[in-house]
Amino acid sequence: MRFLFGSFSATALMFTFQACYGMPNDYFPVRGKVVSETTGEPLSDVRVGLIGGFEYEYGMTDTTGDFYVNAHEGRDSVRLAFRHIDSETGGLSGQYAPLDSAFSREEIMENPLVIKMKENSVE
Amino acid sequence: MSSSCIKPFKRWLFRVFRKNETAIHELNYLFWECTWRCNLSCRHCGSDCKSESCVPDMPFQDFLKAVEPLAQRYPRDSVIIAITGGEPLLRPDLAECGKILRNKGLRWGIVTNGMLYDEAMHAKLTAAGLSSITVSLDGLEATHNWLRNHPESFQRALRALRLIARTPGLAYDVVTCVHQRNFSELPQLKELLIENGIRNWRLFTISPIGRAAHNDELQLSRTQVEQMMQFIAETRQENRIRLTFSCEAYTGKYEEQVRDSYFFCRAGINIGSVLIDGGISACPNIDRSFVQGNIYQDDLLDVWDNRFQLMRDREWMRTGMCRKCKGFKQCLGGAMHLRPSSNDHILRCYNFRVEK
Repeated sequence: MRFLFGSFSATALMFTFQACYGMPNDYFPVRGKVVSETTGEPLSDVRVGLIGGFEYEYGMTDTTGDFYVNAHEGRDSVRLAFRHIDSETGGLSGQYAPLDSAFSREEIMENPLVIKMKENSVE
Repeated sequence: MSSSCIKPFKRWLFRVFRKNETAIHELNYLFWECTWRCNLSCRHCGSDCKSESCVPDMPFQDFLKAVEPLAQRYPRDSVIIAITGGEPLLRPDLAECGKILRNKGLRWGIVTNGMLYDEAMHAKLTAAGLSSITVSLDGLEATHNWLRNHPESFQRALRALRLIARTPGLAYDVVTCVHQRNFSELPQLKELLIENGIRNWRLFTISPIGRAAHNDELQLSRTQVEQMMQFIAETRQENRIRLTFSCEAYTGKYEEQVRDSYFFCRAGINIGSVLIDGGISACPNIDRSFVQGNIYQDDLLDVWDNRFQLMRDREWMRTGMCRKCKGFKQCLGGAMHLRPSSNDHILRCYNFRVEK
């Protein structure tokens, strides 16, 4: 449930949050798709977090692998942490290996990002 | 799932989210009421500010000392400082203040009437890290100038907006306080904004507080408010400009049509303020009886962590017309600035119910 609330917080509402009397919050959306490096299939249940942001600032990929999170306008680059959720435990160590990546503002603004995640190697 | 099922589910999910946000209550939007001086004397001003205020501007070092722990507690770039007044551009040290805040990892923006916002000011502030700005435009030229009590105020605000709209990476919007005189101008104003490249527009009604409390001409009738909701909803459908109703009130059946999110008064939940006299509160337009502390006596974060209970548990608002209202669970008694004190009823309500 916490993932659900967190995702709702980051994606649906933080983007629009502003004081009724103040100026708009300066977020810009980071959009992309997460796919399996091996099969190219879209991956759902991947938590996409902003490194250096609040703990609850993250989005989740949907069934088409699409996600978005909100970064602050003032940043020149954004670092994202991709964590596949274990469907049984709800933990962050799912079938795919954790991935951290940095993106420039230009990369983000040009086209939706495409992220390829590797499966964890089987011992 | 049909839309009749989705809407209640979304509203329920939102209430769970709001409860979660309230429990976490991160301070990530802090107003700084840096001056009470103003170069206009608007008929609707909620702050009662003066052209020559007898209250001196707050020294920046006092504010900085109060917010430095905030910059240390929260991740870099997570907190935005909304510099307001009075008119913040009257502070000669504004760019310098902004630059220091930015270097401390705090983002910053201003709410301005645009009178002093020319190319040189724009260059100076953006170089100092200005990341968000709101400019007021309250109607077509004659109406705006009437409300703002100044013959050049419209042209100067428009000059500011043209500069801002062509600056990539600068978040902005135009706010319009809707009242009897500009109500019928909204469609023309929309076209004017679009023609000038403005993409973000926010409508307010004028709260019966400050100077506006004594001017009936500034208040809309309930029918007009509903027509305004319909105008917003239609404009959003057109998708030529991003128009929203400000988060000043719960709108009942219009909640899904006039904003990107549900009504949520975040005063004391994510929004705090440092007032001109050092008072620690939520939004500056909230009645001063709700002040929770003072930076000259208290630690800002200590006050934030341990006080503000009145704003985080709003059951006390279940009074007057709210007492038996079925909308209460969704609006939680409305916006804080519409409560003159914790003993008073809400000043007005925009809960438009679905007709049966």
